[in-house]
Order: sequence, then C-alpha cells, then structure tokens
Amino acid sequence: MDFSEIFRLSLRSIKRNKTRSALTMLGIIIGVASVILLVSLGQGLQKYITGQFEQLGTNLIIVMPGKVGLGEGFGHGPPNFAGSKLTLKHVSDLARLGGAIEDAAAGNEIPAAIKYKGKSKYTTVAGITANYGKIRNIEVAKGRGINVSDVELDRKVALLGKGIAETLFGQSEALGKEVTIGKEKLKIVGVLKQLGSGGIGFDMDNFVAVPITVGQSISGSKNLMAITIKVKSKEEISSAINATKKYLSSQLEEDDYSVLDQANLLSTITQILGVLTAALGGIAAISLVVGGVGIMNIMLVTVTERTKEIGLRKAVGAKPKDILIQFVIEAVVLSLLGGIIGIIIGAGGSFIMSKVFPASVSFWSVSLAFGVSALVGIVFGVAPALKASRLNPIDALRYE
Amino acid sequence: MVQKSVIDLNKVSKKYEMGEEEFYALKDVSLKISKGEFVAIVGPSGSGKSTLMHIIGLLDKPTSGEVYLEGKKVHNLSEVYQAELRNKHIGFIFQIFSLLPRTSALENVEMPLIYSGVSKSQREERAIEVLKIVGLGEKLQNKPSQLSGGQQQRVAIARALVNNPSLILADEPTGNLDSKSGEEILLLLSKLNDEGNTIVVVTHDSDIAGRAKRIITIKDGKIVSDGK
Repeated sequence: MDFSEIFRLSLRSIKRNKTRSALTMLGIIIGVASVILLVSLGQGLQKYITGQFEQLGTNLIIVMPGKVGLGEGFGHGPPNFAGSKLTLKHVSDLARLGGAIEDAAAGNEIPAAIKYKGKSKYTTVAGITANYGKIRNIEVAKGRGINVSDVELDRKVALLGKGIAETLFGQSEALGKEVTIGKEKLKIVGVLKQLGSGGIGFDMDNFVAVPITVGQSISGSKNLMAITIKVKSKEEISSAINATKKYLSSQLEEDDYSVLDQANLLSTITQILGVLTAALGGIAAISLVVGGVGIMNIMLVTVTERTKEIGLRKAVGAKPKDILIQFVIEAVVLSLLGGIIGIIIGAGGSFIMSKVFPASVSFWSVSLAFGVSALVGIVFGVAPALKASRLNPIDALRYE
Repeated sequence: MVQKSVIDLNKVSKKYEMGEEEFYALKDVSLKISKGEFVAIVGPSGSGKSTLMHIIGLLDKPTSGEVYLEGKKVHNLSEVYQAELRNKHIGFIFQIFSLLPRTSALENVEMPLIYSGVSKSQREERAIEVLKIVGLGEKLQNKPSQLSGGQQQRVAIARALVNNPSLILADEPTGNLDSKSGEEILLLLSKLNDEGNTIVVVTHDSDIAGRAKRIITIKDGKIVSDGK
C-alpha cells in the first residue's frame, strides 16, 4: 500500500490530538535531549583533557625511578622517588643521545612554602634544568627563564607562575624582588604566562621554578624525580623509548627506572572517560525507554478509540498487514518527531553549555539518538498495532 | 438466458457454542443471487440475517457448507485473501458510522482504492466520478460533519461503488435517516440496480423490502420464503 498515504494519515491523526501527542512526545524529547547533552558533556571533557595533554608538550616520554605500574598489570607500584638513582649525568647523556631523542630535561617537584614580606604561600617548587621550559611548553611572560648558567653556577633565582606572582605581589612589579623558600633567598627573574592546570603534573599557574641545583639544596637530596625526554616526532616514540631503555640499562639495574610515554597515560584516561560517557548516556537512555512506554500506552488508547475505523478499513479490504503498518508508522512518526525536537533541544543546550563548560555535540550522538527514537517507535508501536491488525472486522464495526 | 450467479450458498450453517449449549445462527441455508438482482433479506432481529450478510460479505466464515463468489469457492480462504476479495468484489453500505470522521467525502470514497494499490491521481479521478453518480459532485471536500444524513449515506454508496463491485451489500441503509432522505437513498439504489448493479439489502423494514425485486425472509436461521 501507498506509504506516503499512510504517512499523511498518521500526521493527521497526530495533529488531531495536539495536547496528547505533545505530552506523549515529551518522554522521547527528554530522553533524546538528555542523551545528547550528557554524551556531549563526556566527549567535551575528553577533548578538553586531550587538549591539555597536548598543551603540556607532545611527544614526551618520561623516565621515573623504580617500577611504575601503569596499564602493565599488577606487581608494580608508584614511582620510588626516595630511592631514585637517576642523576643529572643521565639527563645530559640522554640529551646527547641523538637519534629519535631531541632533548632531555629534569624537573624535581618539592612541596614548599614561598615567602615574601610576611606573606606565605604553600606551593610546588620545581627544580628544573634549563631546557625544561622548552620541553614542557612553558612560556615566560615577563623577564627570563632559567638558563644553563643558572644551573651550573647554582644561582639563587626563581621563575614564578602567574597565579603565585599575583598572590604575593598583587599588581606591583615582581621582577627583581627577593623571595624566601626554605633557607634560600631567591631573586625573581621571570613570570610565566597564564596556563591553567595541566592534565597531569603540577598546577602551572601556581608553581615556582628554580635551577635544579637550587632545588636539590632546598630538598636536601641529589635524587631526580623524573627525566622528561622530548622525541622528534610521534612516529619515533617507540624507537626513543628503546634507545632510552638501552642507555639506562647500561647505567642502572632493571628495577631502578621505568620509561613511560604520554600515549600510555592519555589512553588510560581516555578509556576511563569513554566508559563514563557511555554510562551517562546509558542512564539517559533509560528515560528513552520510559518515553517508549508512554508511546505504547497512547497507541493502545488510540487503537481502542479507533476500533470502528479499523473495522471499516478491514471491511473495505485492508489486510491485517495494512493496519499493522498504519499504526506502527503512526508510533514511529510520533517518536521521531519527539526525537527531532529532543535533538534540537539537546544540541542547543550543549551549545549553550559549551560557553562555560567543555561540551561538544558529536554527529554520532545525534544520529544514535535519531536511530534510537525511531527504534523506540517501532518496538513500542508494534504491540498496539498488532492488536489493531488482529481485530475482527465484525466486532470492530459493532464496537460502541 | 443463463444468469451467472454472483453469490451461491450451499447448505451454509453457522453454529455458536456458548458453554455447553449450541446455537445455530444459520442452519443449512442455500441461496443463489444472480447478476443484476435486487434482493432484500428481511427478518426480525435475531433471525440470522446479519450473520447471513456477514457470510455473503466474506466478513465471517460458515461453520459448515460452501460459499461461491462468482463461481469460485471462497469459504475456506485465508483472511488476507478474503480481504482482497472484499476489496474487489463487495461494496458495503452500513447503517451507522459508515464514514471516517474529519475526512473529506473524496478521501472517504478513495479509501478502498488505497488498498487495491491504485495511484493517487487515478483514485481521485474514480472517486470524483462515483461521487457525481450519487449527486455529490459539488461536495467533494466536505467532511461528514458538514453533510446531512442522506448525503453521508450517499458518500457511503459512492464508496461501495468505487471498485466496481460484483455485489453491493447494504445493512439497514435507511435505518438512521428521516423518511424523505430514506426515500432518496432507496431511489438511488433502484437506479443503480437498473444500471446493472447487483444489490442485496438487509432490513427489517417491509417498506424497503417492497422496492426489491426479490424478497428472502429468514427466521430462526432458516429461509422461510423466497420470491416476490
């Protein structure tokens, strides 16, 4: 039978009961809108974190002391910072290794208080080598960074994050002022650009960088907490890992170091967020099922109300299949209309939310929502439509 | 002249079982209706005339006996095939609710053609043609609520005619009408019969039956008289 004709019929009967149709669609609208909103939220978060990782510096591999367990099964613990056998010699050797390795730097993070004229702030102090800033994409806004001679001559200088500079000095000039960390008095030589907190590692806006040699005297330990290695390109990461491992195995015991790459960390986090997004979407999908039950309910009412129409159609030659298709299509049109409105609301909501929170509407979440609402219409429309198609025309015609 | 029979019933019975009790709505009814006849089936309510109409109209199946439509055995066909035969061979006119509400006269008349797979333009053309035959050529777009009772019944007649049926089956076609409108409907049916349509009217009204060329009286599930 003529599908455009059935389509017109179902639109007409939906229009006939406007309030009822709108209320029925509401369930689907809420379900679809919340699926899209929550999935865009999860995906936005994923994008945001991936972006943060990239800002942190791409193509990095990190050497940590001890056996670090990260996606490599059980038996490995957190990094063994206290027993670290990594030294500045390893850093300079690795930097000179060449091949896939572009550069290597060390950064020791020490929690410590920084003081200026009675003001005190507890923060992360990082003892860094001169090239650390370049590798981690840390940019200086005012003054200069930590250079090679600062490290070699053990100069008492410090580089402040934007946040900590504002905390200590407000609007007044920070350059050239003297701050105290532990027993060391340090002259401020530079202030960093605003960065926001990096996905991993420390809060860049609130950290203080000092030459690594100064850092070692603040902490009273010669140990290095990590060596960061910059690789020339993404494709060369695994050869850089191999070269690093090969070098370190000539210097240290197998258990004294771990070589990790960012992809490891990123994929673990992405995986977790992916599961989270799916779970959020799944919870929202439950409301779609509830919406489907609403459609089934109203379709059952419609079938009862239109018993005579069904009897008449059958008497003049409609086959059970024709009646079935008519009512299934009516349910599908109802739920698809709800789906389309839900998509508009969900996408619009995501767009508004993206102004204040990472959210991005993806094509697949929209097409999934559209597909699911069509499916809901079919699944929940079949039972009432079957009931209609099985009506005996004589009984249906007599129905009061 | 050998008259080809449109409907041929051979010892048709319809039995209902209510718990232990058996009840025959029809018992061994044999009946032939030929092409071009105008037959009235009369009888008091409960006589079995509605059951007889349903069996002739392929809306119901007999418990025993045989039904032939245009010489073809039809009583044991599937629901789907019977629907197809109803669509092509039988035009129904019902006493009440014979039209879809909020749907124009034109679309009501088109409805049977949708199920025979006729294209939209051909459907419209044919529906307009039959609406003109019943004198409603000016009321194509009117909804049933905008038509009088007599006009509504004429739309129903147009719908019955639209597929060029072998048989027009009318169940109390004037039951809900005032006498003037009823008279018009009966005149229309007579005219259609004069033009060669086979018409069967089921009624309890002997006035209506008087218009028919043949009256079959049924009582307690049996034909008690047949003739003019």
